[in-house]
Amino acid sequence: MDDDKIRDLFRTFQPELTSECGFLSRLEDKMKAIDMVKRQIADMRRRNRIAVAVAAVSGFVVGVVLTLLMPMILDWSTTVNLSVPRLGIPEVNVDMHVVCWTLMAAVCVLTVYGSYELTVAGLSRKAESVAYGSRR
Amino acid sequence: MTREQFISNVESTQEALRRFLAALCCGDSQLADDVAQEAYLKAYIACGNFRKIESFKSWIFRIAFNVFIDLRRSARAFVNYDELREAPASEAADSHFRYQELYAALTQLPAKERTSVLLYYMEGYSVKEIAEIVESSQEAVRQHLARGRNHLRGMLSNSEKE
Repeated sequence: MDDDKIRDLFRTFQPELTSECGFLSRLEDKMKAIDMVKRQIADMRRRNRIAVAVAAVSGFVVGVVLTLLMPMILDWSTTVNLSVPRLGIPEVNVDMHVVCWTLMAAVCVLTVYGSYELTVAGLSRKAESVAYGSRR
Repeated sequence: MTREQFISNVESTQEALRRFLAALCCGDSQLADDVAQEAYLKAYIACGNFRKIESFKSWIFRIAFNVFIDLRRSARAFVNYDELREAPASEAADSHFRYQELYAALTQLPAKERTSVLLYYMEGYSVKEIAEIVESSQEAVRQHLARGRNHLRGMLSNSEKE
């Protein structure tokens, strides 16, 4: 059998195929499912970006406010320190600056984390209500 | 590539791809459809970054070939020569029977040789294009074709004698 015979063999070769409509509609359904997942991933990324921006802004604002209030906080802490009654415990020399800055950093971190979580939760709830509303 | 472009490319290539896969799967059109569906879905997921619309057909054939190879590796639902010989008559038996010898001969070829032969004779691809699809060198494809041809000649002349 030479090359031409093989060529002829394949020229008349028509394997049985399933229905074209069935194939295309099955593919279309799967593509719709992929589109939905793609949309959800894009929404999730968008929500995440917004939440990061909100968290960064709120952390920055709280940091600035606390830094501006630092002299007042230090005054207040010295007053508190003076007004604490002596209980016979040997006095420990604590640098109030270090304590205040540490507390401020902790408050900033908590604010950032809290605002991120709140924003994500809020946006997710909103997205769910929109989806639920559109489904109805 | 947009969704509409993708769909129009699917419509223009699906018949050739399914026919090629049906031959690659030795007449198992259900398996061929599953491979084609998976290949199109993989292409759809990746089509956002695909720019060369004119070479869509080669691209989808390459994906389908890789899906087929993965499926073969997982060794699921693959027709072998003996099954093919002993296959009972079914609704599609007529057409299946018509090509039974060819399918049996194709089953004996390794996947790359079979793919090269089918792409060359069924789809009319050049050696260079086949090399791109099966991700081999042109020399390797020429060897696959030569071996495949010899294999087919041997098998089909034996069946003619019988």
